[in-house]
Amino acid sequence: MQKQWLHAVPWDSVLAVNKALCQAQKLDPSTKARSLEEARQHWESAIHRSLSLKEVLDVCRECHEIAPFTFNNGNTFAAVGRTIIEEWTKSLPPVEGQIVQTTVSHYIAGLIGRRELLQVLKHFQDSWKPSTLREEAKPAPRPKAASPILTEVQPQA
Amino acid sequence: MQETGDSPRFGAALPGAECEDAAALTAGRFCHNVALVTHRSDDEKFLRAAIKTGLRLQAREVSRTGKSPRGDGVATLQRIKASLRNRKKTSKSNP
Repeated sequence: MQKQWLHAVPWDSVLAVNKALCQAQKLDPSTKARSLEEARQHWESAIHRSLSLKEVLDVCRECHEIAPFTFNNGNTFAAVGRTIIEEWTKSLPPVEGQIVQTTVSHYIAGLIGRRELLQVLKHFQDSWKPSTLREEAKPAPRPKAASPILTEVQPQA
Repeated sequence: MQETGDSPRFGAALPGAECEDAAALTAGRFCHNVALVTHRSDDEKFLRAAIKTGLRLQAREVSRTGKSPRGDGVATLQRIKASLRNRKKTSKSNP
């Protein structure tokens, strides 16, 4: 599903998350100037784009790999990624929601690969709908007859 | 439905609205805070949720490893300092 996942997540929010996490550990929230600028540009280029879930998680993972923060680099982007999908995981049973959230944070932090992420997302893809959509979702009507364009032309004897 | 003059008018407390009487002013103060909480922007909601999630991740990490991420670096520096101190001591005792 394509969506503007990052519309409520300006780069300043990412900085604020890192600052809060560093303050909690009494660490100086120091950054690496060049990496910070690169990650900011990458993030801001994705904010107004409609992305699939995998694409937005890739943005988080790539920013994590750029490593703009000295401390809590992984936790910052993992927390942002988890929060992005929080609304969606609420529609899942708690244990399954936890599985998805953990998988997402591990993917962002580089602990698992793309294949594992896609396997997990694929497993939950059918049950993974917001509650409102799930209630409204109705099975699509099946076509009564096949379109003449798609039917095979019988060779004449 | 007609409004009575004595009832607190919560709507008057919203930013930009005017309060006409004392009751409205009293209620207005309370309502202003409510309005601040309920009219929080998406950005702010997200930020709060993300910080909460991040702190939870940190706590889990500490409980799993039994030490903070800073612990490694500090321990290493302390070991280096201790070894330097020992080296100085031995060099003084054996000139």
